[in-house]
Amino acid sequence: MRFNRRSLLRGLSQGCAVSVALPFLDCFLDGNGTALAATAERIPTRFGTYFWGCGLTKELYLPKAVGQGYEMTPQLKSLSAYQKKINLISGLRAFADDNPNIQHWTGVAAISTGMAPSKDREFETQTIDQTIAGAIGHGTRFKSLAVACSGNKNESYSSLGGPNTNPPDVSPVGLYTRLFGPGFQDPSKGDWKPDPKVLLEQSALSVVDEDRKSLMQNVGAGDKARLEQYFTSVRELEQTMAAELQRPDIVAQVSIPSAPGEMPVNKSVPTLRKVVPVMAKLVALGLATDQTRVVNVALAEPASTIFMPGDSKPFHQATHEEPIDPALGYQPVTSQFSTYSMEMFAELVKALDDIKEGDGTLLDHSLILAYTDTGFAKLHTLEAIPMLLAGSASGRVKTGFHIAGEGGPVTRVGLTVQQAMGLAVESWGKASMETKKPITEILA
Amino acid sequence: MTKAARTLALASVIAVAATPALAAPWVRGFIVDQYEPAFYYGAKAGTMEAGTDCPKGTTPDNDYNALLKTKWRSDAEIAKVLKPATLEVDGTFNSGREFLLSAALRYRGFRRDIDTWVNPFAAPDPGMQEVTGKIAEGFDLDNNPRTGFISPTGRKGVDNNLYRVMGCGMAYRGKPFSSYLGTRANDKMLEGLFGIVIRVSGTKDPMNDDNAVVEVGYTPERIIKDPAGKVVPDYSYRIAKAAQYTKLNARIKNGVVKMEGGADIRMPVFSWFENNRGEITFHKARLELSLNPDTSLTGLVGGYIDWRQYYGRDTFDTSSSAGTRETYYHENQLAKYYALKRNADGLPDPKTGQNMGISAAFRLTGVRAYVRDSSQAVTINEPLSSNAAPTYRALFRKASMTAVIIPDPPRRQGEDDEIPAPKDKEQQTVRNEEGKSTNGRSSDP
Repeated sequence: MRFNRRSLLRGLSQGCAVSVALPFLDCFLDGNGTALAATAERIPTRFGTYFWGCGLTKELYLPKAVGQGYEMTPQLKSLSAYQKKINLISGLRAFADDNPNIQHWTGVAAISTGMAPSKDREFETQTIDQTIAGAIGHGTRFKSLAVACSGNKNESYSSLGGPNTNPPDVSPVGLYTRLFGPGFQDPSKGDWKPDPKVLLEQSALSVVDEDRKSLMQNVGAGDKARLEQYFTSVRELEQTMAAELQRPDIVAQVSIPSAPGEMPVNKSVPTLRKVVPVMAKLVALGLATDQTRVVNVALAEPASTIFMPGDSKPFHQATHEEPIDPALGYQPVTSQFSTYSMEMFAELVKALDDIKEGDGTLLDHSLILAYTDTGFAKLHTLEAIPMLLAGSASGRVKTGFHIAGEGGPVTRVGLTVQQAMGLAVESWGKASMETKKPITEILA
Repeated sequence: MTKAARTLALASVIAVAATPALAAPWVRGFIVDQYEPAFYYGAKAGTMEAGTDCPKGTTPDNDYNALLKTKWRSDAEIAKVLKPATLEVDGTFNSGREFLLSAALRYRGFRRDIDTWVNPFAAPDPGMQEVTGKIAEGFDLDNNPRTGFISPTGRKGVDNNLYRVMGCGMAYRGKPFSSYLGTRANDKMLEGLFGIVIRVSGTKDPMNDDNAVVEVGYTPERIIKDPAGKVVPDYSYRIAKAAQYTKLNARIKNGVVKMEGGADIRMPVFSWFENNRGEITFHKARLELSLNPDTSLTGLVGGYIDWRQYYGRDTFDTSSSAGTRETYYHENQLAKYYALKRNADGLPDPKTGQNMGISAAFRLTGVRAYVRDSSQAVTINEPLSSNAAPTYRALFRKASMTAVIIPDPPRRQGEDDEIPAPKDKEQQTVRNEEGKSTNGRSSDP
């Protein structure tokens, strides 16, 4: 019998069928002891989102040039080192259609679901990261992860729809524990083996499966819908467990660090400057070690209240109270907060690009959608909402472009992202935001 | 042709050419693309600078220490309110500070249990930074050129005391259509909060017509914009002949339409949320519209507005109500009450002689459009409102008319923020003839 790294030993345990994954054996390597022989798999493409609130300053971020080689503007300066690996998309708009423009929310939902929301802080359907996770997230320990850099457990924009938001990790220690705490085995270590507890849990679930089928046949439509959602989670758990029984393939050159120490986590910009790099590095490690392939990072809430100690107003309040400087043509204090938001995004981009993976970096094998809620926070506008895409999705996305959206719907980005991630989707969005036009300039 | 015949022919041509065109019915339609209170800005640039209107510049941030000082509130109590109302507590952003502040600002009277937003007369007048300039836009509503402001074009006797009260406010100050709330409200109007159409018609000549008719009303249609956000001309909009519709006789001279006669005109309030939307009635109204050579419209509408209604909307609407105004917008509701009352200059109550109205003017611009009647009845959805807002507005009105303090009604936490869900979402939207909803709505932040 030929074995490969996916082979399972099968048998019976206390009357139940049990399958056990094999540990990583040298015979699975090619002659050089590096690439996986015979069943070599490609490096997975990862997806992520980075959300920041209250937009950017048009006068400070929008380049005059379109296409490649655009000038790097003051508000994007922190991303200069990565200009060739990111795309900037400007000028796209969200439509509320028959729904209200829910201030600091309609833009969020439009970009992440393609639909204008009807309720504040709820999505009409699952967010784009979950759609993509549904396609690529199985087979990893976590279908997706959410991270709230400011420490607020309500700040997650990853959702299954309605009030079903995926709760975020809110501290570096918490994120580290989730990724590399109990239940994690370093796949690069020689002593990796399937966790017996998981084996037992998995076998218990398979028994439940028969009862589940019987139950579904005997309940009404409403209960069936509820059970479907519940058992979808169970199925995902099963898949997670199956993944945990198999040693992840790690191509990235990483080693698991020791746990970070406790650190304050709040919305003070100096604090964020310390926390975000740590969170970004952990997120990158989580992707690199295939704990997950989908991550969502939220800097703060849509009506962002990041603040500078000593100032009298946080970001959001400044957007409304600070007048437009007649000489500058923009709000100087407000624009500074937008610049900080881009600096934090640059930390995430850096963390991904710092990890060598195959013939490139983790960033090269990822696609990160950075988005916000409004084009001009002072007025809560839905026009000209800026977005960025970092990474080339393993070569499926061309990078280094400034794309001028010219008033088209924001859903063009979501459609482009899904196609780049390999989803068979030809159109996306609803009503005025339904589009069949991906941004072909950046699709390889 | 003989010379005589040629001369006769030439004279005939000249005679025909000199004959004026025969009078014929005409119509001009417009969709309003900008609308705001007509507050004259007396500085050169920006929105904050000192100017002839406000020599001290725009109203600064409130001093909450001063605002909260009362005979019964000790310094320690004020500190207890303000400390947790600081930006951060122990390094963490204090997200509850606005609510803490608002809850305390509500009580500034001579006794701690008096809601001074309902009973503002229970606290002394803190003083209002009023406009002290001499120039204002508006109309001579009392036909007295010796009182009031002078218009930017030199017309005397302009009555616009709402401007006198509110014109130095941070939210309202700026050149036309560039104040903070001006830009915000117009953005929301164009986004679908509401639409106003104006149709001017006559039987002679749009430049000069003694028998013109002006119609002003809502449209259920969403305003059409180009990708740059500008309203696109020549689209078709229905005019809703609902309760908000006004039809007036007017005269046109050299392209300037003037309505006379002092009828009431009902216009939308200046709003930027669904639940601060509504109507304002200009009593003894005046209207002046310019039909511009480039086919656009500019205009002023003015009259006396109910100052208590104005205060009530500013104070008790759910979004951008007193709490927001006294924090974000640097306003002082108590000062506003006294200033509105002091500057009320029209609509005297026949019993008390008290002026119930304050002179006001709004400016607008319009883009050429086809304004058409609908073959079916069109209704405009009523604004969403919280349960509490109408209640408190009524309480304030009663209190201020009688000067009798009205105690707090029982209030559940967060009641002011409640917006009742529409019983039937379909009922809350305006429908077009095909039965499809067309109107956008906004909600509180």
